[in-house]
Amino acid sequence: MSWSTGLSVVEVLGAATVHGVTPSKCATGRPRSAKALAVAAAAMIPVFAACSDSSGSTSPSVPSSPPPSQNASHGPMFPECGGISDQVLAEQTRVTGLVNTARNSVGCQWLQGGGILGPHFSFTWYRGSPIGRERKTEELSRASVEDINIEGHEGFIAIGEDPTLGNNLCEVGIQFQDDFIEWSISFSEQPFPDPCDVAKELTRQSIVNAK
Amino acid sequence: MSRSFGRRALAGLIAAVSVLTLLTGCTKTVEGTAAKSGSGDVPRNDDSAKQYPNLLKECEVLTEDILAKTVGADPLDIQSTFVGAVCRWQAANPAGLIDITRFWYEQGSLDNEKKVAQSLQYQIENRTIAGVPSIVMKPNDPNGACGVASDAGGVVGWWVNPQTPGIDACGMVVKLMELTLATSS
Repeated sequence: MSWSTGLSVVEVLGAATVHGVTPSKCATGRPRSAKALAVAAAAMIPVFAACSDSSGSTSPSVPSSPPPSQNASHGPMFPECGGISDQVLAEQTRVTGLVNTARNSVGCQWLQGGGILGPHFSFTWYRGSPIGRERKTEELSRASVEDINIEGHEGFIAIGEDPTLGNNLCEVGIQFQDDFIEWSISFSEQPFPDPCDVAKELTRQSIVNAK
Repeated sequence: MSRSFGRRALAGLIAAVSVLTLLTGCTKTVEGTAAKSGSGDVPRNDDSAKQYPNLLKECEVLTEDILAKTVGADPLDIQSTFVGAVCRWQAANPAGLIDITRFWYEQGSLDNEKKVAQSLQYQIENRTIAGVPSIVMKPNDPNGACGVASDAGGVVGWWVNPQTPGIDACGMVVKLMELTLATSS
């Protein structure tokens, strides 16, 4: 399914105030409180199925999403954390007491003392996920997003500003066919090194570590 | 990714979008009217946003309340740390902090996730969750980290990384996946 495009937020929110949006022939009437609607957001696909003309709705256990490309071309294999050790991360960021709190097949996240108050550093490996979407998120939320090439691979570099700390955040995403990796470097207190220097160097090392 | 940008507003938008989608889903007339009004005159390139209209809803596949409950945390003690096709949260289980990762690679595949898990030398178990082919992955982690990936909408998955041992991470990720497949089916 595809959603209507080009809706502004205001208009969408306006639409939310329309009453009686659930025709009686729909399978379920849904309460309209904000919270219930949030649930409805997740649950709307079955409603779609229930309302669609084709009576033969397919297996209810297949979630919706844009039609997946069956033959995504994947990039190289990366080791856990892009092959970056806790020690290298500490050296690069010059932050002490970091804990690797989410080491898994998706990536790694380092937090000071293991808690979310403080600096955030992460490596994330997207496999069959468009880099364009991530870049768009950056463009909507960051002070600047530019093209970058590291070790011969194209991507973006995004800088985030903090009112008191200045440029304290930098994120580098590098594409490998239908995959990409992203390093996110975010400092929470002075003094700190240039976050983009850190992000670029960790990205470079991760690319070198790819197999 | 970005941290903590207007999650409440976001939830409202998501809810609103869902209503609209209900509308378009159940009455054919609405779609055209709605679509024309907001288009054009956008000062910046929003091709990606149009191409990926799910951009902002991804982390909301399950609400934070449900997430917290599933990992045994107070709903007030969960916070998002990273959003996008990969979302991360941290929740406070009485036994210790738990990091939750959710991924949704819409052009990915269960096969590829299996290859990656093999490359990382994780223990892999084939499972069927809510009728969907899945794998459960266990790294050699002293705190018992556990992940799950299911062949749905590309590939969707969860990881639970406890910061202390003694937490049933595999039970949690399977539960999260059951909830995911139930709500987005």
